[in-house]
Amino acid sequence: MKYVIPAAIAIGVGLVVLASYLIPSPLLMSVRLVFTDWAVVLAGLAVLIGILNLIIVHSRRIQSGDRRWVYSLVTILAVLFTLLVGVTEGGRETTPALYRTDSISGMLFQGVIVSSLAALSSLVLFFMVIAAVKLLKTKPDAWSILFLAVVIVSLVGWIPLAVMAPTNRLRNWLIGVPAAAGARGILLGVALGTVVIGIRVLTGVERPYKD
Amino acid sequence: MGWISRRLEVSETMLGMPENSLGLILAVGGAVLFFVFRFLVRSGFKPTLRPIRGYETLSKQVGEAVESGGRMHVSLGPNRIIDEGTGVTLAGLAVLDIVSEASAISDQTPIVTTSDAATLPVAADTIRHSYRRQGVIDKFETKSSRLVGLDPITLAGGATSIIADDDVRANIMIGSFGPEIALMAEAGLRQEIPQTVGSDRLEAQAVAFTMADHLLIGEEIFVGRAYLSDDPSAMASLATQDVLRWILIGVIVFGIILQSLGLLG
Repeated sequence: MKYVIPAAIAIGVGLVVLASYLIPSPLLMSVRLVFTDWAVVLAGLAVLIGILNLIIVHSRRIQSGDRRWVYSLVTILAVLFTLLVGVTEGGRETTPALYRTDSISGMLFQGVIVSSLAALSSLVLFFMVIAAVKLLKTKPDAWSILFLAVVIVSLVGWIPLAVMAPTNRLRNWLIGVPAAAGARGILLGVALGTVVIGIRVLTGVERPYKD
Repeated sequence: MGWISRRLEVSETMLGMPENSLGLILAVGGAVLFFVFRFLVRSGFKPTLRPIRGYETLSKQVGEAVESGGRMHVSLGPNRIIDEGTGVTLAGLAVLDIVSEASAISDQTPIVTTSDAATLPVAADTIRHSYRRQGVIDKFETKSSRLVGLDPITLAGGATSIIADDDVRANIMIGSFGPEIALMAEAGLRQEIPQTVGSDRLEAQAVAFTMADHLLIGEEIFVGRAYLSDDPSAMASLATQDVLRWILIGVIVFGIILQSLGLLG
């Protein structure tokens, strides 16, 4: 029974939601909306569990005297401070504090999170260029040479000079024909994989809800 | 299903059938094929598997990580378990299940990172279940599953520090990663650890080609269980996936012929 009841609930809910997409029925649609609302509530609760997980992981790191305990302390203090500010400012206005420019939450979001994300995103480009340069050293084969040649043609093909017209055309052809065909092929494969894994879950063969 | 149809740009009136009918045929037909193949596999039929280097070397990677006394890092990506990323998330969890079972003899539980709070307890449960199967539930560490951020970039930032600082000896990343995977792969490169990357997004596949040791492309991320275990239902789902692919290729070729002859509007 330990495995049967969760499996029956999961399969039943899954089949109802799938049926609501495939069979036009107001009843199925309304049931699906109820299930979706429950999922949203559970997802919100999961975020709280996630925050708790973050605090526990870093607390144990501090307790164990890890050499990076200072970072863990900063993380915990930042989490608690942000949570406190969010809860305090949350109930004052109708507009969420995060979207107000005069709120501390908004300032934290724009000043810390957005700027940190921008900094990390800029590092991505840097790492990618270095990796592309290292490629010939780490994987010196025909595929690597072809990959780099396509990257160079794609980049050079952006240059809007009359003398570059043949490269522009080659770049457009690369993006429009082989790259688009490959991308669609990969998307089709992913879609089929998703369908099959969906069938496995709906038939109770794949059970992520184990215990 | 609706998501899949949108991604494939299937027309509402394609072949004269509404989108719903196509979805229904795909779901029911796929389920029938799956059960037929499961019966055949249990009766002794074994589909021929083409070699996928990423899976061939995965067991070796796990073995080496365990022998060296280090731990594995498995990142499930920024995809969520309750939206269109469910399939990819489940594929990552399937690989996690096998990896954690294989590394159960080690004293160190694999570390799992995700940016989806709802995936977090499922990932922890997956490792716990693997450890219970192996009879080493006492070795399970609850802190091994970590929510390191709530968006792709913060996930990459958090996972990068784990790869660099938590004695990680092999790095597996399976999920809907974007170009931010470069941050994590760079951390793995610096540690000189083997890395296997699987993503359903082209940007990550391009980045991983340059930085990872092994790359799983497109639907390859969904067949981990078939390659890494003897599960008959995994073999059956692989065979189903192959048959559906050939049917799809047939439909595309048929559509091209009809279009070329001017018979399709």
